[in-house]
Amino acid sequence: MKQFSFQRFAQLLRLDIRLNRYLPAMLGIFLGYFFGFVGIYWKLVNPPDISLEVLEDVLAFSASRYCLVLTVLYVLVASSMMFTNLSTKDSRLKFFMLPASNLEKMASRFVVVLLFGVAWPLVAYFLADLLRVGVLAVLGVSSGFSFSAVGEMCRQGWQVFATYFSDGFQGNLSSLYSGLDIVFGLLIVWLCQVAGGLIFRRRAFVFTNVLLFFILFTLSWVASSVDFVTVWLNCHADAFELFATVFLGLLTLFLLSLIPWLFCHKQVQ
Amino acid sequence: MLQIENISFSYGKRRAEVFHDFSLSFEPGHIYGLLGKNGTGKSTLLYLICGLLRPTSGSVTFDGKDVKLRLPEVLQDIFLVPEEFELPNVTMETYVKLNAPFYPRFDAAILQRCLEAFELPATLNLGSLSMGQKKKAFMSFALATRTRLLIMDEPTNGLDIPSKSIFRKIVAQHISDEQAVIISTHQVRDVEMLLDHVVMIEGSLVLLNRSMSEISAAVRCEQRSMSESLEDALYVQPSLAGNAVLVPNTNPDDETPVNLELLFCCAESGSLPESLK
Repeated sequence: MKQFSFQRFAQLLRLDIRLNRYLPAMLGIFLGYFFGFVGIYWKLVNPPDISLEVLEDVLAFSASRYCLVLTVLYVLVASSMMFTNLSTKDSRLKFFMLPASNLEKMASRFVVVLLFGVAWPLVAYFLADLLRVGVLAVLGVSSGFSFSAVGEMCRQGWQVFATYFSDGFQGNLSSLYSGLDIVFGLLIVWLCQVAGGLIFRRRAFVFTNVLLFFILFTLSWVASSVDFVTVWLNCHADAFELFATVFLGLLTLFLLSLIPWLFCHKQVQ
Repeated sequence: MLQIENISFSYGKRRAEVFHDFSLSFEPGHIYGLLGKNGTGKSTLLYLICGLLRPTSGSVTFDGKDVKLRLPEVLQDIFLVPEEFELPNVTMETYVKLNAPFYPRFDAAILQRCLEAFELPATLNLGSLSMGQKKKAFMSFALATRTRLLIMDEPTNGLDIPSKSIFRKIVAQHISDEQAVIISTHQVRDVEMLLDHVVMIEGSLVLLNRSMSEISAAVRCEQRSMSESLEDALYVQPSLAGNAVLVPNTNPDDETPVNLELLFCCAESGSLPESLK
């Protein structure tokens, strides 16, 4: 039998969404996003003494920044809650006994918790923008959609990020290492949240980040306290850059292997 | 079908082993009663069989596949009715729509018949049921999945007296020769008419692993007055009506109903006849 069946995965998704006890909370978050965006755009109804075009640009920028910040925060917090369906013995028993592969079960949690959750602010943003255009039209003011503001912010961010790699492939290794460090660093932060969700049954977000803070603080303190390390770093900056990138890459691979291992070895008690 | 081979298990390295070098096997076409004292590891054994716990050594295989891997082809042939569970706040129809597709042999007609037998409406809402009703609803679903291995932990807990009889009837009616049922229970009187094989465990020891016909051929249960001799008794349980005794069956062709409570106490005291050890 296949380890990943799309039909079985779809059945699992359907079950996970329909019986998700956090569905009301997620709907509440969606409404929070929506009314947040509406609140930002409310200024357009009673605009201050600046041109409407400038005000629209400012508000679109605010709304899109609000949307992206919320998305990042949600990804961090939700990642540590990806396996909250394993928080009680009864729920662990039911989930592990479902006739689906471990890969399908992990993938369904990823989709339900992260992908749907990441889509929430974007959908709320679009709906709020539709409402804005509709309300302004009723007030006799013509206005265009500001969907592109989010896309523009993402494009600008991507361009800055891509520069690291384009410079790197043109011979600037330091730039390449920096780009890879950013990728690995973001992945490590995300994977740590997911791993923490598997290790800690309660308050995973709090415990994971306290532990991460403690580890980073300790490492930084040790590195800065030992003179040899400081001197060596100053004399071998290039080697250190390569070492750091390789280390972060290996840590990423380790976490990518650890998470499925933790899930497959999770027991009902 | 199910092979438990030399497993050892403990809850944590510093705690005493629940099982050490324990082996057992289960074959299709039987309804097994799994009996044992409180804390001896019956539920732990059931979780090990389902792959919900991992043995520290040894293996539990179902049709040759290791259950701890939780493969879908194994899980769709094993269904566990735990002692305590919660059901979601949805109708039975919704619950079936969401869960039945995972079990290829699911039979809606069996579910309907079981619900009717338990006098539960097909339109019931699972979230508004009492504990006994939840048990009946969930057991009806379990029987309808027609998995090759059905495991029930204390299935008659919380059932009223008529429902216990109905439980026996529907299990007997809907289990085929390709299926095996393992019932772990302390309420032996509720299921002794249903079982055809008895397994008694005490930690890593298998005190008894025999079919009911073998047990009936080896021992008989009698009620004797206070004045009657007890020399031949394997085990004696005094009561107001006299003594309930377990004696060797001198006429193996004459099988009598087995009192599992007496048998269990006899096994615990180490007094079982050699033919049953």
